[in-house]
Amino acid sequence: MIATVNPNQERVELDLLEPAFLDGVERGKWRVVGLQWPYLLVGIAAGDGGELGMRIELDQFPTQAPAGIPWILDEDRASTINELPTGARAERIFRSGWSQGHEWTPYMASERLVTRVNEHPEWQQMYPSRAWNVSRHLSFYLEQLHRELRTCGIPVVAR
Amino acid sequence: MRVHQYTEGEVRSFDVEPTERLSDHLVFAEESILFLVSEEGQPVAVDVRFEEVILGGSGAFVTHKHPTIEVVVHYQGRAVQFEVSPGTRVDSVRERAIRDFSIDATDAADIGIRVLGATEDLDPSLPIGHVVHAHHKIELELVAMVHPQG
Repeated sequence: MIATVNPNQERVELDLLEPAFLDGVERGKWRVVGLQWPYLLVGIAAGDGGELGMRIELDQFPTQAPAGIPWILDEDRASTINELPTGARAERIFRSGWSQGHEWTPYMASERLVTRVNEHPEWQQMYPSRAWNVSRHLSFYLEQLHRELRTCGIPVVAR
Repeated sequence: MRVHQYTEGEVRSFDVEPTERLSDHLVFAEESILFLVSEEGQPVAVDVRFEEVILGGSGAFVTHKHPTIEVVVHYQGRAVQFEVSPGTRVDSVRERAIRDFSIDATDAADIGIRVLGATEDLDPSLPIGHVVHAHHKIELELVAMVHPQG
């Protein structure tokens, strides 16, 4: 029997070792919790020292952008509205309208669901520094999210 | 541990044993200086062991011909100028410029840094010596992040 290698998973595993990704790990910007293909579970540091868990779907990576939703890592479930980042700028990416209807997907130009559902192919030309393209690495998506979380806090919710 | 070496225009990645010496793996051009990629980007001797300079599970080095890089950063019609090590991360250059321009923390969160006139922000993890290639001076600009709407 010949083992098949999923090229998308292979690319993700390479990205987990690329310099910018490991630099982010070393500097505490993000950490890997696990890769359960096609999902990567990560924690991303917020401005208040808290951490936002994310489950990122990578089945078409890197042809298609990552598709992430906020995730409660220790309970392995999607975040609820009370568990989302807070702060003046949190609403900018976790929109009560659009994001709420899509499992709180962050509204970023590097996010798969935003560009697919909203059909914004022009964003690659309009926002080249923020949009996803096939030459991007996984660290780009995480860096974009980490930037957005710089001024956010993560609520402590009793469970 | 995972090690990356930046040179003028390329990056090599490989695994090393913590007890091995830098000179066992890193490649040097003539008259180049070796720097640890960090906030300060301090020069390092080639005969030390990886475990003496890398505290975590991975680290990066850059080789460059110049001991310092002259950086000019533009922002809203003003400019600041300072010198950094070639091993200094782009992120640290950005933070230094934000301090020099006295930009408050809230506004700073929305600011990226790029080569003057470029359309994309620089990767914040890169050593500035890798960005300038063989030169010893670079002009950068701080740019407010755009937030796509629609």
